[in-house]
Amino acid sequence: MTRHPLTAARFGAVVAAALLVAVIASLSGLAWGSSGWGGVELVSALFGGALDEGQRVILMEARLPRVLFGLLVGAALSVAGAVFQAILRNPLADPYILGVSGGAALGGTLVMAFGATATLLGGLSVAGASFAGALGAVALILLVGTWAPGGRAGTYVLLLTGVVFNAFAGSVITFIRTILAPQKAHELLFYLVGSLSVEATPGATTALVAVAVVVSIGGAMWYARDLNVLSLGDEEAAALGVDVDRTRRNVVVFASLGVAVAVAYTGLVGFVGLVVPHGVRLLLGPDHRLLLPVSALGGGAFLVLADLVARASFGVFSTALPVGVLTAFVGAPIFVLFLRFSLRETQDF
Amino acid sequence: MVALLAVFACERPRAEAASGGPKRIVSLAPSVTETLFALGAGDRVVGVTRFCDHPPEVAARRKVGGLTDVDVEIVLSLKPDLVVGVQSATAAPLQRTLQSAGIRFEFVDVETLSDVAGSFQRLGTLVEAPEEARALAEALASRQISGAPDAPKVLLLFGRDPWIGAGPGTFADEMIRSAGGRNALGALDTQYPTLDAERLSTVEPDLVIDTSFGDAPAEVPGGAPVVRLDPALIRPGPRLVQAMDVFRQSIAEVAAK
Repeated sequence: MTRHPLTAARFGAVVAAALLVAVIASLSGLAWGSSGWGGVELVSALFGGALDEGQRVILMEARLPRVLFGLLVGAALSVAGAVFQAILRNPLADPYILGVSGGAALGGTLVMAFGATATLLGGLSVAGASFAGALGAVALILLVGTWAPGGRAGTYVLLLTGVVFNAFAGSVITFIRTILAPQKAHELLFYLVGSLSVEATPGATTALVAVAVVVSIGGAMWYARDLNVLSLGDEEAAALGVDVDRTRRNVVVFASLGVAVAVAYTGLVGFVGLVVPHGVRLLLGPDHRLLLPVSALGGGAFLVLADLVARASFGVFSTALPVGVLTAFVGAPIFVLFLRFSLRETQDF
Repeated sequence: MVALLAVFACERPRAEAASGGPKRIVSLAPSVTETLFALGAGDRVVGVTRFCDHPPEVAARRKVGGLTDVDVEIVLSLKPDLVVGVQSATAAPLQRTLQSAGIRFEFVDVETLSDVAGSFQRLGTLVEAPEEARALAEALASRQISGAPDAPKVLLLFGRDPWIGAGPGTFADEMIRSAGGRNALGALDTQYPTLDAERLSTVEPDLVIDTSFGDAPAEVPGGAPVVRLDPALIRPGPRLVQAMDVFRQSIAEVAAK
């Protein structure tokens, strides 16, 4: 692939194109849904201000919250995926690899299973616990990471402890599910599969999630140039004046903030953080200054569209599929396809 | 993005409250659906869950999802003036949405038999059928008796592979006791204990009530008589009366031996 230098004009054109894709995806997400009602005229009525009460309720209470969360969660996961793939120098790294999935699921599960107050506080306390669990796990893994001397061993230690922690958390969750009442266990199963059933989330909460995701993406983009250098190798990056440990730690914290907030409200949505950054890299090359913003917009669009299909599947299954099922279902084949493209391009693989 | 957020945060007007009894009811639980039909409000039920299968007319009603996965958009698109479900940990988010959409809702408690009788009365009031509601509640109350200290030990099974029984504090536990029996698992401290074959063989029940899904009756070690019961009958709805009759009759037969 020919690599163009990143000029302001190219950056602007590519990001504008990605933004257009995200806007089209969002409008489609608003226009169609499980009731099969709406379509293009709904969107035009929205902008013409001619919505009747029934239309307004479906749009505002059912579709808009899902589209907003789809954009935010898709963006956070894709950026985190791109970042983790870079700093761990592992193309299989996904946003959950550093213990985030295990920590979040464990936190949420504990509250759902044993928190007597969970019922009173609704989704919020479960979300709070998953958020705390996710960040707690990342903190633990970064702490273990400090045992390793700098250099290549550092990334291995992070990767290995992350994987082991997720496996450990998985076994604790299985244990809790075994001792729970069947009805509770069923609710838990539903919680653990990623889904955009966030319709009841208050606007203020959505705004806070948006702030966290923007901070997370902004923080990662701040280090975009250092990430470019880091992907050459720790020694090379250090030789070029990058404080490797500090950069790695800060980037992990920023990316994990977005993932933790996403996982707290929507559970584990797989493959977005793998497929989107790899796809963008194939299209635009590995420069993180472009990769990160385009992944954010593309990831948002991808998740909104996946959720649209999940909602539209209601007519077939009498239930909207959890979007996590769908992203894995389409994500895995796409990933293999990308692999084929990239193998064809780099014969020296 | 910012514009979308702004739209989302806008204040929305509340819908007018319905008057003269609800005309379009969405039911979010099989037991509630059965109760609404028993109260004579079935023709006003426009949406049910995919698990609602009784009475047969519900097959023609629009499905709004399952128990933990109700589809908000489908519910809203049915334009209901009353949404009824049972209390559960997963009900709170839906209640928030219904509230801000200005739709009247009621989530009844069905933890105990008296809760169920209360839910008949509450739903009867809501659909303006108080007489029918009283009759349902009285039918249920009339089936309840108390057991003697040496009453037959009843093991109620929810599932097999693995065996899952009814422990204390469950709805089934109360049903056994209200039908003149003793819960064979009443001394455990788990509500839904999973029993391996060894543990099951130490229970030594006088009667097994098998509500697990399966074609053949469960083969429980020990040789106690096994009574099959359609699991749908122990839903906290009006058909509990039939289930209580089966409980009482089989317990009385065992006690007479």
